[in-house]
Amino acid sequence: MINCTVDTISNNLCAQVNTLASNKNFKSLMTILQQNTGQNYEIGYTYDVNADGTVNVNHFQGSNNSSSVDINIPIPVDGFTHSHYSGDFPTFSGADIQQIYQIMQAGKMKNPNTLTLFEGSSDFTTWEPIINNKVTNTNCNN
Amino acid sequence: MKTALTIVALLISSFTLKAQQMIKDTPYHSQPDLHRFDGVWEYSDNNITFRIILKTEKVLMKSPDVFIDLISGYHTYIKNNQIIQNSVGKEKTIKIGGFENQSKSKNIVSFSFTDMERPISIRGILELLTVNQLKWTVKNREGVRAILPGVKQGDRNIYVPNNIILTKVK
Repeated sequence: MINCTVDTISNNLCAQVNTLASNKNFKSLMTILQQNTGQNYEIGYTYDVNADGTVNVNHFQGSNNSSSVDINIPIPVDGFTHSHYSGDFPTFSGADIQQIYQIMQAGKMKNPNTLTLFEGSSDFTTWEPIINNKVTNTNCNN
Repeated sequence: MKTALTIVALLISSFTLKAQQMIKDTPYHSQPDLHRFDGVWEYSDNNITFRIILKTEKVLMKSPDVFIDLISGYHTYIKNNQIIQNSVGKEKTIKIGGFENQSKSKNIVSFSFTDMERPISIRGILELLTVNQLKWTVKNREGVRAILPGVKQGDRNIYVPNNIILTKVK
């Protein structure tokens, strides 16, 4: 459970994350993600959390010796996650952040206010960003 | 007229002094070990010559203002006596080079590289093997890539020599 004390944005974010963190199906997904960090390939998932708590998952694996993974998003999703290649920095890369914008522009984000996006790395750090200004993000290349 | 000129001169002098004071007050994060990468480095075989020119420069970074040493430079790629890519005298193609992780090694620098045959820059790594030998590696940037309907994917090909050992020639 994450301790939330800062502000409305943080509380909303924590509520989202805690909902996912208490979902055993989602926890299983994150465990698999953590177990696959530090490999010579990356794995990724897109996911949707259903009202009954079940999680629909699509799995993707990158090429060997490549610090990248392609994830196919033909229809809107609740969120996506991926592991990091062995030795990569345990934070989102610029390309990861750029994908948030591109997915939003393509209309493949079910709800930008509740998007979750995790990154798992070999030191077991997991990060989750939040979009706090959808308008700015949508117009950020203007 | 003389008074007006005096006022203008005083104003210019005041601005100059203020600018000099700001520069003086700006912290400088010096990286003397980066200078070991400076120079002209070259790889050559029967078909290919690949040359890079590197220089460590003091660069002003904004917000918060700080001067920092970073490596930048140019490259030339010749294949079968034909110039394939050449940035010398044009825009820098090697930019913002800094230590990959200086607590681990001061022999590895990562940088942003412009492969002139593709629109988006890629990531480069320089590893100083000896004082006269440098390993050159470039690769696509890390990260997840969303395959979205109707969105064209960027070029992932690399058009310059890769994983080669360069020798210092100057």
